[in-house]
Amino acid sequence: MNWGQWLLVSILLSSFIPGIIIFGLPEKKHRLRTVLNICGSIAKIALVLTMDIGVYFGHIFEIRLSIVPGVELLLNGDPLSALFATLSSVLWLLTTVYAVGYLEGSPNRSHFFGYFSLCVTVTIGIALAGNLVTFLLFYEMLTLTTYPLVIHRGTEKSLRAGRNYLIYAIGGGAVFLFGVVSLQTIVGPVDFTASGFSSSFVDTHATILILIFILLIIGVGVKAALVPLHGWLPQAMVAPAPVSALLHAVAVVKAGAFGIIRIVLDVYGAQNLLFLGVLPLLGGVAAITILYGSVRALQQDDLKRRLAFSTISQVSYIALGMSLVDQPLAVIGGLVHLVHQGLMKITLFFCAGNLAETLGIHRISEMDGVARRMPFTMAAFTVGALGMIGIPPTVGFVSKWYLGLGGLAAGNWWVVAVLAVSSLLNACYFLPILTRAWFGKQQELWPDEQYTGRFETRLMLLIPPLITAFIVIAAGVVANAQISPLAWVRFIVRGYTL
Amino acid sequence: MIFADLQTMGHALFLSLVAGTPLLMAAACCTPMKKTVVHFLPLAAVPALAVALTAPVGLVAEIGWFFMGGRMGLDEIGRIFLCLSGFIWFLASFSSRSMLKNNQNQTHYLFFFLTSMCGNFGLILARGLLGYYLFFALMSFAAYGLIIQNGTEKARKAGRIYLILVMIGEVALFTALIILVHSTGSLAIDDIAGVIHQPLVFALLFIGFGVKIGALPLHGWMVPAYQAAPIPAAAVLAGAMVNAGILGWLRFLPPGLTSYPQGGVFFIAAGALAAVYGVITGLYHKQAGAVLGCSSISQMGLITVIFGLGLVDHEAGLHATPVLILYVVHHSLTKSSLFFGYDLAASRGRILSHLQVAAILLPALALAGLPLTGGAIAKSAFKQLTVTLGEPWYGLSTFFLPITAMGTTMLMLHFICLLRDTEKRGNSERAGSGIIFTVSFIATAITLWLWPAAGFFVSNSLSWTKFWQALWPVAGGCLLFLAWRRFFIREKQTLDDVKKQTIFDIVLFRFGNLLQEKEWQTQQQGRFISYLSGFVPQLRRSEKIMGRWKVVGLSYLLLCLCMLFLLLRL
Repeated sequence: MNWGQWLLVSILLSSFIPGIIIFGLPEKKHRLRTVLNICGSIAKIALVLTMDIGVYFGHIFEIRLSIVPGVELLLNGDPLSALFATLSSVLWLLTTVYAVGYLEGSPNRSHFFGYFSLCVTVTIGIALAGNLVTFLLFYEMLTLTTYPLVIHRGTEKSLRAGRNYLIYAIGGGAVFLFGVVSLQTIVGPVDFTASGFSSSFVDTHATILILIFILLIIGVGVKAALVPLHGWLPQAMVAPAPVSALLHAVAVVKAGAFGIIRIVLDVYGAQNLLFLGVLPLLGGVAAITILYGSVRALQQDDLKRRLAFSTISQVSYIALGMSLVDQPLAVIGGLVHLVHQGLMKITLFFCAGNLAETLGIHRISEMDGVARRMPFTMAAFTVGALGMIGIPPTVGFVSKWYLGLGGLAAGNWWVVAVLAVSSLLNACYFLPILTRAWFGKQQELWPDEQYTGRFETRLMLLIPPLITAFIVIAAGVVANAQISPLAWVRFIVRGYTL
Repeated sequence: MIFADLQTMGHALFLSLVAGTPLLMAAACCTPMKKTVVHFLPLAAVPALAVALTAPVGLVAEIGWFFMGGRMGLDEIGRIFLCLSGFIWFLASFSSRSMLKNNQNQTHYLFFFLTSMCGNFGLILARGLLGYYLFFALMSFAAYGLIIQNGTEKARKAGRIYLILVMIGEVALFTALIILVHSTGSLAIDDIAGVIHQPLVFALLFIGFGVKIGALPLHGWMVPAYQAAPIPAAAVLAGAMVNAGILGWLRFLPPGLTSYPQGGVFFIAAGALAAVYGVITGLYHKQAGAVLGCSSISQMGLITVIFGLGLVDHEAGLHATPVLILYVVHHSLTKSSLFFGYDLAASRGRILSHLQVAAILLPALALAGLPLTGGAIAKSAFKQLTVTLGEPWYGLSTFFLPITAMGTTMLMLHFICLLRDTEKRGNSERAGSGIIFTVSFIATAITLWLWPAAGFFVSNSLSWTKFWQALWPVAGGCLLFLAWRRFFIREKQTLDDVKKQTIFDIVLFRFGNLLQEKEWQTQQQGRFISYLSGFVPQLRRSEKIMGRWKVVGLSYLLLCLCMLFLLLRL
């Protein structure tokens, strides 16, 4: 094995090993567990960054393991996997810090952090997967590792949510399996390459390839919460805040969206999809999901539920970008939104968690004047919310801008219309929260005030959202710099002949 | 080489300071340094004034990494706007400082004041479309914080209308920008010139910037906002920020470089309507700030008319631009000194002396075009423009201008009457409001006379016929006002309650109410909403159905059969 292969393995192990050790740790070993977690995630970031640099300079990272003839496991570090791996590992560090602060004193922490680490291992596996079989393997494992996190609280409600999640995820996984197997029987082993499989199959097997595409998209669409496969996500918000952050920004929803990207760009390839003519279908589903999620979000009074519907809407920006795969600008918009949405949504969930954990606030109608009590949390929340609306200079604007330009370049005016309406709807459900929090007058005592210390809440809860909020602005302000999510996405898109 | 690099860096730094200073100070006021920031508040506007007065025209700085390509620069128009805005912000920050010193508990105000200042200066220097949009958004959203500063129910209503309209404007602007960039393929403002615009882009730009200047029918925020905002904030809203809309039009639809006759006629019609609408509604208001708001709607209407004239053809555009700028300078200085006069009346809390009333009367009547004031110069420039353009536009100056001048005279006299019985605002007497008013008074009185670019119009306004033409509407307005007070004032008609204003405002209020979650829950919803909420349980049901094992199992089976069938066919 060369150093590149060692690097890939150690990226996976850097969270796997701490996870396994943590399972075995007694509940009381709080400090050791935290040290393991933090060291693991810092090590992972360092390793992933090393890989990023290698990828940038054209080094090839690849591990192949043949299981049976024709079926092999392939781990591969290409620019796209580097994007997702970097996002996940950075946000994992912040979420871990947050979770340590959030779960202080609650039961079953070893169990929780064990699964937490495994979940990230699997997510990185999804990022690094180099062919459909490997992707499928990690994709199914993701369901199994996140389920215990969703039901962590063990209440009636969370068990129901967990069951629902499992139904959706396993159903989706099975559909995906079918898609993968049938695709494999037609075009042979499917590695992720920049042009997709050979176009000769498209002429001969057009209908079935369309059906398989639909199956694959349904399979990953469950996790990406495309309408009508989104039902599990709003329910899963009963999970603790760090888990919601993980579901919405780091692992699950993102894995689904990443799956869509892989299928569109690397499995089918732009040319094949254009020939098959299925892209308008994907675009239509994405547009409906964007608008539907926003309309539903408007009607929620529960803060986390509103955020969940907002995720449904926002993640479909990625699918929208992919549906315009022949337009480089739209692809840039979609890909960069993978990162941007993660940053914004994780900020919002951290803040929602802070409100719940510190003051017992769960509903928007209880938020009057809360910014006077927790100014920093609400400042971070404000940045995230403005980003979701797409106000410059936040990153949300950058994604929207590229998607809109791509839509126009393709001659699709409806894309711009969808973006405009979505911005308005986002404003309708985020701005009232902000005005309430900043300018409302506190009506009664906070529902359940837990923390009265020097700062507005525990520092471990406060710092992660401040960092992500800072990145939301900074990554927008320096969008054009050499090092920014946008720059990396441009680097990715240069590798495709669109 | 190194020297050249240093020089470019120096230019970039110099220009960055203009918007950067207020921004840094805004950041500092979130720290314990708040009191220092309050103390040095007027310094925030100093770099803007310094750049406007000393920097050479054509200074350009490129900051490649900044927000998808940052490009700043100072051109002739930018210099005038920067100078004007810098001056008004400078005075308003003195006024704000004395307000804040009385009431320390106003971090919000300080923060929003400084951020909107940053936005206002930044957009003037922006040479890229996205830069303009960025600073415009920053200014618009920060101004919300200024409007609802007082925290009263009225202020919050005003803020809500404002926020809704700003959001509509933002989205319109975003869409217009994306279409523009798509068709020109460039992000630089200079590349827009000469692009043939689609009607859609025109409409979107009218909405996007029209919100800021209170163009009909997007004016709903202006009156309540001027009424609710603290007076120094209202002064910058009316004197400086409102110009961002005009500048936006000048940048995005440059007259003389773009021509679009139908669009021009639309602008003229909308502007003329606003000019009349403003004075009529203004007479029914009982609060000085609201009257000034109506006057702004009316005056901005006149400016919109001038802008529309400039769009008629290329030739007209070249003539209209200097007139437009002259009028903007005149209006901003006059309006802000009226607000500072209002501040004087409100902070003293006693009846003004005759001298003070006379001093406030001068800018008030200047707005109506009293001879020998800046207003007369601006109006004669307007007339000159219509003469140059010939029929049918000449009719505007013989018929339309005198009517608005009369209306404005009535409105301003109404304002002065209201000033005399303004309630006292704030806790104690504010230091320096007299000085601030005096400075702005002097600036209003002399600027147009001394400004070289206005020279032609100044000499033009000095003939006896022009003198008479300017005088009779003002005199007529005075007589009409006396008659109006004598016969109509006893009726208890007031439009102060914002809810009863106009059809537009009513519609907006309905929409605004919908945004409040309470209204969602109490079932007092519009038809659309009740339709939606009837629809939602069904959606929810369908979501539940999707989540049942049985359904999943069945669809699974179905899927298997399909796949089998397909595989057999292969």
